[in-house]
This record gives sequence, structure tokens and C-alpha cells, in this order.
Amino acid sequence: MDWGFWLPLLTLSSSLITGVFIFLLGEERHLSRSILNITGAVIKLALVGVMFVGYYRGRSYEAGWEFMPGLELLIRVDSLSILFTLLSASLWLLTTIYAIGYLEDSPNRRRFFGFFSLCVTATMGVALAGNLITFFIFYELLTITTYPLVVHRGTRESIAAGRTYLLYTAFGGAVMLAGVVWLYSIAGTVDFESGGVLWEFADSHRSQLVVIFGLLIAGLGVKAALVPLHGWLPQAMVAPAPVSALLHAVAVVKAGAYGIVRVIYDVYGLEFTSSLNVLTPLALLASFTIIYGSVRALNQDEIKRRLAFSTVSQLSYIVLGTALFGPLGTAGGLVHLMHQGLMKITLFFCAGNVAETLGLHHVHEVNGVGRRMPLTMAAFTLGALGMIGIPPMAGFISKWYLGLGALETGQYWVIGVLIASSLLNAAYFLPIVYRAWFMQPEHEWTELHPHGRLETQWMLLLPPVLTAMMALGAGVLAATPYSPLELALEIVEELYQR
Amino acid sequence: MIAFWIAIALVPALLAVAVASPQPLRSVATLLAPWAALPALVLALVTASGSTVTVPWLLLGMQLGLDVTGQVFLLVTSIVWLAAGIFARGYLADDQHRGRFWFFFLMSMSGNFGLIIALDVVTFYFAFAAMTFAAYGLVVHTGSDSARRAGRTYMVMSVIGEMFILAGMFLTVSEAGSIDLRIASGAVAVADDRNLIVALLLVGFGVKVGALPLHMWLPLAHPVAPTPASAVLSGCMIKAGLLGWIRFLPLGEVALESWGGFVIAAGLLAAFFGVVAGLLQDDPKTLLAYSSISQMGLVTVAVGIGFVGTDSWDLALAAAIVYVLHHSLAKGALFLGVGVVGVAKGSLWMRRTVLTGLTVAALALAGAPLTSGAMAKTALKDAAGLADATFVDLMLPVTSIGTTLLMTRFVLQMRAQLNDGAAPQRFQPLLWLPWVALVALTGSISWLLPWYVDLEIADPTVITMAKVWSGIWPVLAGLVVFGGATFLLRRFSAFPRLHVPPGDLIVVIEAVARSVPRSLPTRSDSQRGWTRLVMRFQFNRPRFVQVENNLSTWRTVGVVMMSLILVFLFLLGLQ
Repeated sequence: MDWGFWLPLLTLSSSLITGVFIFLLGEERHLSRSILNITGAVIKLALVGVMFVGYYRGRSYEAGWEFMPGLELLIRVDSLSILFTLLSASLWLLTTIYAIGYLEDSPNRRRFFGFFSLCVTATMGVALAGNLITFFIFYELLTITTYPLVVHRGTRESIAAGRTYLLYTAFGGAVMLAGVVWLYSIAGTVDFESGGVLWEFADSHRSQLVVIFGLLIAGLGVKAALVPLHGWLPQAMVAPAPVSALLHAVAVVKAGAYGIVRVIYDVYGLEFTSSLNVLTPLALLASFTIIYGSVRALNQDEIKRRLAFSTVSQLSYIVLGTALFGPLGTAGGLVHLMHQGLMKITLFFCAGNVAETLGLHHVHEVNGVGRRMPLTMAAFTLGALGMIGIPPMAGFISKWYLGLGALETGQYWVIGVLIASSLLNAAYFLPIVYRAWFMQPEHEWTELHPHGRLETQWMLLLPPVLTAMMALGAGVLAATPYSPLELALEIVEELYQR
Repeated sequence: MIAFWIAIALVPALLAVAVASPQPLRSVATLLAPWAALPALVLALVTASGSTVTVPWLLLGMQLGLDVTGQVFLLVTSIVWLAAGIFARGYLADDQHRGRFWFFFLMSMSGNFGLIIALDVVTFYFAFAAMTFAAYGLVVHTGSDSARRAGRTYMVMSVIGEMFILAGMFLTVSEAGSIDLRIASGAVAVADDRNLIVALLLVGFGVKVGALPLHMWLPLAHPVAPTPASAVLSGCMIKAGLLGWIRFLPLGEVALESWGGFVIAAGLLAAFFGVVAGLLQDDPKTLLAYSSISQMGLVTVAVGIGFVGTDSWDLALAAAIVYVLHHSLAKGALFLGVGVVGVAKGSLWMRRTVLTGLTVAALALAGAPLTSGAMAKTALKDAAGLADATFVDLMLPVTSIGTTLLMTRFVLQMRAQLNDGAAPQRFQPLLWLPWVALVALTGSISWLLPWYVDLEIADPTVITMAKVWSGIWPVLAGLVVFGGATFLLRRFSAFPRLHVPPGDLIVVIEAVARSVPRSLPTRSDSQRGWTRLVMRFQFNRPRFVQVENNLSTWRTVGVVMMSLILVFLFLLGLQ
């Protein structure tokens, strides 16, 4: 058996099959469903682990076939996709555990977990896509599979949020499709290759390529929540906490950011993009988004809304790093792809815990919650400090490289953006931390569920504690081999080798 | 060996985590917590300066080591932390939040030690941030309104300071091409943006040092923190800002005369301002906080001298180091003394002992002969002499007179507290012993220092008449001025009573900040979040009235300050 061919396919299908079986299982078969879910997630993580080790030992993993004349569906592992795959697989496992605990006793769990698995399949597809059309197909699948999750609660508010979500993403998808088709009509086929594949059309199709770039970025920018295309994200936070966590950390928004990275590095190529003079406008847009998201986050009293606007801001760190055009900036952007995921998923898990255990949804309600839920709030504090960019959290490493990258290319204004963003992050995260630890609770806690000796169910508690430790570890051990930073630097070396 | 180096910072940090853990770990950790500074003290005592270790897998490649500067910093910092830790064990024995206190105490300690042994920029920044953020927990510990106000001011100023530091570090590292702290100052010296970097770092670390006008958090935070925390805040943590300056600024690398002049002027201004504002305080701990601003102003002068010429830095650095050694011990002793006074009432011998001890520490701060202060002031004088800064030479005795005034007032305040006739109190060794140790060190350190490290200062064990005289006349003059002023004030009781609100400038800023959110169209939920943290420093109406009152007394202070500045300029013109 050719493992190089089958492993990537097995990785994809591990969650696809899980999803299908979940739909086949009865609604009431909770235990079997949980076992199935966890097994699927563990298998996927194991497969990704094998591919990871294999890839760094020099093996290649690729599977492709022509599904239409001239159009190849290509699944491939490269240094960028292995990074994203690893993140998705490990966070999927944790989120599954979390979701099982979170949705205990709630209706429609079959639908939820079914689409949850499909959503992860789509994310994996996005991660492993080896060419633009494959990427696009999975990208659209992601939109479709996420919709049921966003509207899961079925309330008027979530239906409205779902509508907004579809409106934005469908529009984004259409714009992107136009870009993809146009690009294929020029180049014939567009495989992702480090350094880009469009050099030969530089002279003949220059202005067309600029327009296509705009279309692709606009399409991807919807999911990456670039201002002014971010409107759906704060609304979509009505989804259940595990969905928000996955949505904000690895699945939807990250797919957008990842797509932008792919387009710039592996389709256009960094140097070529830079020669088209589109990087500076993109950097400006990203900077604006960073500041705008943070400013909006200040005024949100609902914790999840505040986190959602924070995502708008933090995601653009990735775009900014990509647009900086310098090895250090690139490293900063790429490493933030991982770091933001770890930190944001922690924050959403914790917000979900507080909501699910004590029924608190607003910033002004969390006074003194640190004493009641110390581990949850410790994890939240670590995540928040990371978002501000305080060492030794992972967020600091991202900020450090972005800052040095900006200076390396002489773009001093970026330092101002980073610092303003850090200050704003401090201004909207620290009050929550302060309230939780230093203020006295105003009234007795309303306990929503029995929880035994721990501060809440173990399935809700374990994932945020683990992700917080990972976010801490990614910073403290940044210089260790195979840390996110080292992996990102590896990719950078590849990119700038030529 | 590596493990031992890391243990310096890791032991307090792990104990902090253990203190926050469930029983029985918590009890064990609380028992060990006061001794958390011991590994650092041992390292400071046994390591030869110049030793380094590298831990390539930590952060972005951690480098640790001790040069002479770090050695002295680590020694005195660990001593004061140790004393404060033992003191805290007694002081907070009945505090119901003592677990939380220990957590933040140990975390700040960990950061403080870490930044001293850090030899790479990232580790330094990490440890600095850890110390800064953890100290917030110490400031707000009591949870009172004034503690929360102090905490808010501290946090806002610290975060802004951090950002200045971060920007400065970005530029430095980008120029140096490496995170090695030992080449940082050299890189800044040749950087294109040298002035920008210097400005960023001066401001960023200046917040911690309490440099004028970034000092506002200090007089608010010191008095509200529990006494052992005030001792380490003033004795150790504000010195971290100075260490930042020493590590990053291009001192001794390149002569930057205009920066030198500016820094010297700012330092002297702080030295005088601290005295004036401190004299007008009623709370002894606030007075001590202003005294710290004043004393750090003198250390700032040493940094300024380092800017002026490349060859004056060796002496100026030695002076700064000795000054830190002196001030940490003396200020630690004074702050802990305030706590000891609280348990020394009643019994006569207790009162006498505590008053004697406080007087020794106060005399040291004023630079009286044979004390640590005399050694520090001599070193500073020598550095000023070498740099041809005769103006500084001229002003130093004046600052000593000022410090004498301040310390006389402090000792009298303490005496009044002791004599307010409470019942005799039990002898509490956990409070007394660390305090006595600090007082004893303040008196004896100038004899011990030559055994420990070889600094470029005049041998403090050699006593000459000239040295004794130059140490003693400002103290005598100060006492005479104090006596005269007291006499005049008693005689003419109609003389307006001056008062500076603690935190001085912050009151104005708060008043401005208060008016801002009102004029902005605010949405209902925008009262939370940003406005709360950045702009709203507690704005309720009764306070507003009080601020107005404060502002009217401010006018009188303003007149005093203006005349002081005029005198200052006049003296400057004499040069």
C-alpha cells in the first residue's frame, strides 16, 4: 500500500466517516456517538502526527485525480499545510471533548456532531489543498457545513445570524470563484508552489493579475473578517461556545487567513506580489482592521462579542505579517496562525464555561468569578495576556517577529499599530481579568448543573486548561525544535531560499 | 549549573503557583514562601562576576549571567526581598487574602530576579513585564477605594511604559541584529534612530524609576500596598527601571551632551520636587514614596553624567550601583520600620529601639558620615567631579539638606505615632528581626562592600576629616533649617497650611479625564471597558468637589514649585 497516497486521504476521511456514521446513529445513542467522535478525532490526530514526522523525515504525501478534464483535485502535504493540519487536528480533539460536555442534555445533538465532523473535514481539505480549485471547493464546503452549526440553537437571533453569515460568505465565495476561474483561464492550472506560479504571465497579464488578486483577497477577506467584510463574525457568535471556539480558532476565519497566505506565497509568490504594488495597501487594510476590531471590542459588554471583535483584530496580524514582505514579518504572520488559534480557543472555551456553569454572559457579571472557577479564569487570564502580547505567552512571540519584520523592511508605522493594538487589547481584556480576580461577587452564584468536586464538569475544564498550557508552552519553548515558531521559520527559509 | 541559575527565578514562581494550588500543597508553599529569595542570595554571594549560562531552548534562546552591576543588584535585591518576605509572614499572619498576597509577592520576586540575571532582551522584557504585572496585585491588595485608584494609575502608567520599552527594544534589536543584551547599548550608540530609541527608553523605564513627571503612580501605590510590599516596591522594583537604563542606553559608548544635560536636569528636579512634595505629606508612607522619587532623581543624575562623556561612565556607573545598594537597604529599613512602629507601642525599650533604628536609616538616607549614604554620595560626587559637572557638585549638598528635612519630619511623625499611648504590645520577632537586619546592613555595608566586589569608588573604609565634614554639614544645616521653619510656623500660625495631594499631577489628570467622557457622546455600555480603564479614574461627584479643593491648594504649591524652579534656573545661570 502506498502510504504517501493513502495517508492524506485517510486523514480527510477520518472525520468524514465519523460524520456519516453520526448521522446514521440514532439521536439517543449518546454514548456510542461520543465514543465514535473521540475515536475519529484521536485517529485523525494520530494520522496527522504520522504525516508530520514523515514529512520532516523527507517523505512526501500527495493524492490527486482529475475530476473534470483539466481540473485536478489535489491533496498534498507541504510545510505550510502540515502546520495548519496539526493545529486543526489537535484542536478538533479538544473541541470534541468540550462539545460533548457542553451539549450534554441539549436537543439535536446528532445534527450538531454530524455537521461538526463535516466542518472539520472541510477545514482539513482547505489545509491540505494542493491547488487553487481544490482549495476553493473545500472552502465553499466549509461555508455550507458551518451554517447548521451557527443556527444550531434555532432561536430568532441565531437564524438571523445564520442568514447574515450565508449572505456574506456566499457573496465572498462568488467573488472568489470569479477570481479563480479568471486565473485558471490565464494560467491553465494553478498549483500551490512555494514562490508562486505566475511569473511567466507577469508582463502579459499584469493588470488582470492585479484585479484577480483583488477578487481573491476580497473573497477570502470575508472569512478572514477584514474590515469592511467582517460584519458576519460578531453576529455569528450566538452559536454554541464550542462552535465559536472552533470557528474563531481554526475553522472558518482561519481558513480565510490561510487562504490569503496561500495566495500570496504559493500562487502569486511574495516577490511577484510585491512587484504588483498590492502588498502595502493590504498591510494598510490589515492595520486598519487590527485597530478597528480592537476599538469596537472595547465597547462590548457581552463577553463573546468582545472576543469576536478581538478575533477581527487578531486575525489581521496574520495578514499583516504576510503583507510585510520580509522573512521576520512572514514568520510573525505564520506563527500567529498557530498562536492565535491556541489563545482564542482558550478564551472561547473559558467564556463558554462561565456561561454554561454559572449563566454569566456579560463582562459586568463576572465580578469575583476567579474564586469560584479558578482554573477556568487562570486559563482565560493566560489567553488574555497572550492576546495583549505579554511574554512569555505565544502572542508575544508573534508580536516580536511582526515588529522586527516591520523594521527590517523599514515600515516603522507598523510598530505604532502593534503598540496601539496591544494597548487596546490591554484595555479590553484587563478589566475582565480584574473583575474576575479582584472584585467581590455581587450575589450568590446560580449553579446551572451539578459538577462534583471540580469547578465545572471535567470535559469543560480540561480543554481550556490544555490549550492555555499549549499557548504558554508555544511561547516559553519558542526556540525548541518543532515549536510553532521553528516550524514557521522553516517555511520562511523555504520561501526566501530562491 | 544551568538548573541553579534558572532556579533563582523559577523557585519563587513555582512557589507562587503552589501557593495558589489546593491543600496540602498550599500550606507547604506558604511555609516556604518567605525564604524564596534564598537561592538568589546564595547565587549573588558565590558566583564570580562574568559567569554566564545559555539555555537555547527557552524563549528565543535564553542567556543568563552576572556582571558586576548584576551582582550588586542581585545581592541587595535578594536581601531586601528576603527581609520583606520574613516580615510579610508576620505582618500578614491574620490577613484572609494572604494566599493571594503571596502569589503576587512571589511572582514579582521571580520577575525582579529574572530581569537582573537576564542577558538577552527577550528574557529581560519577560521578567520585567512579569514583575510589573504581578506587582499590581500587591498594590490593590487591600481592596480599598484608594488602593483601587492607585492600582488603576499604576496599571495604566505601567502598560504605557511597557509599550515605550517594547518600541525601544524593537528598534534596538533591529539595529543590533541579535537579542544579546550585552551588545544592545553599543547598537543604540550607532543607530540611525538613536535619539528616538533613547527617548523611548528613557520614558519607558522612567515610569518604573519614578522619573519626573512619570512618578505619579509611586506616591499612590506605596502607601496603600501592605508594608512589606511597599518595601520591595521602593527598595527593589523601581531600581529595575534603572537597570533597564543601564542595560540599554548608550552610556559610555558615545557622548550625548544634550541628552546628558536633560537627564541631569530632570534628575535634579525630581530630587528637589520629591523633597518639597514629601514635606507636605501627612502620611509617613507617602512621605517615603516622595523621598524615593527624590533619591531616584539623584541616581538619574548619575545616568545623566554617563551621557555627558564616554570616560565618565565608569565612575557614574559605580556611583549608580552604590547608590542603589544604599537606597535599597535604607528605604527597605524605613518602610519596614513604619510597620515595626505599629507593633512597638507601649513598651519603652521597644520604642527606643525602633526610634534609634529609624534614625540610623534616616541619617543614612541623608548621607551622614559612616553610613551607606555617605559612601553613595561620595561616589556620586566623584563622578560629577570627573565629568566636570560642577553644577551637580554644587547641588548635591543641597539635596542632602532637603533629605534631612524630609527625614526629620518622618522621624518626628513616627515618634508621634509611638507616643499615642497604646497598651504594651507583644514582641514580634518576624517583624523585628528582618528590620533590624536591614538597619544593621545600612550602617555596615560600606565596610562589607570592598570584601564583596571591586567597584571604581573611593575606598569607603578610609575615613578622612574632609569626608566626614562634607557628610555632616548638610545634615546639620538641614536640622537647623527644620528647627527654624518649625519655630516660624508655630510663631505665625496664620501662615497658610500647604498640602500636596498624594500623586500630585495625577489629580489634575484625573480631573481632565473626568471631563472628557462627559463631552464625548457615549453609548450606554461604553461606560465599561476602555473608558473605565483609560479615562475613568473614579469619577463620582463628592470626589469632584474634593478635587476642586485640592486644586485650590495646588495654586499655593504651584507658586512654591515655580519659585523653586526659578532658583534652580538662577543657579544654572551662575555656571
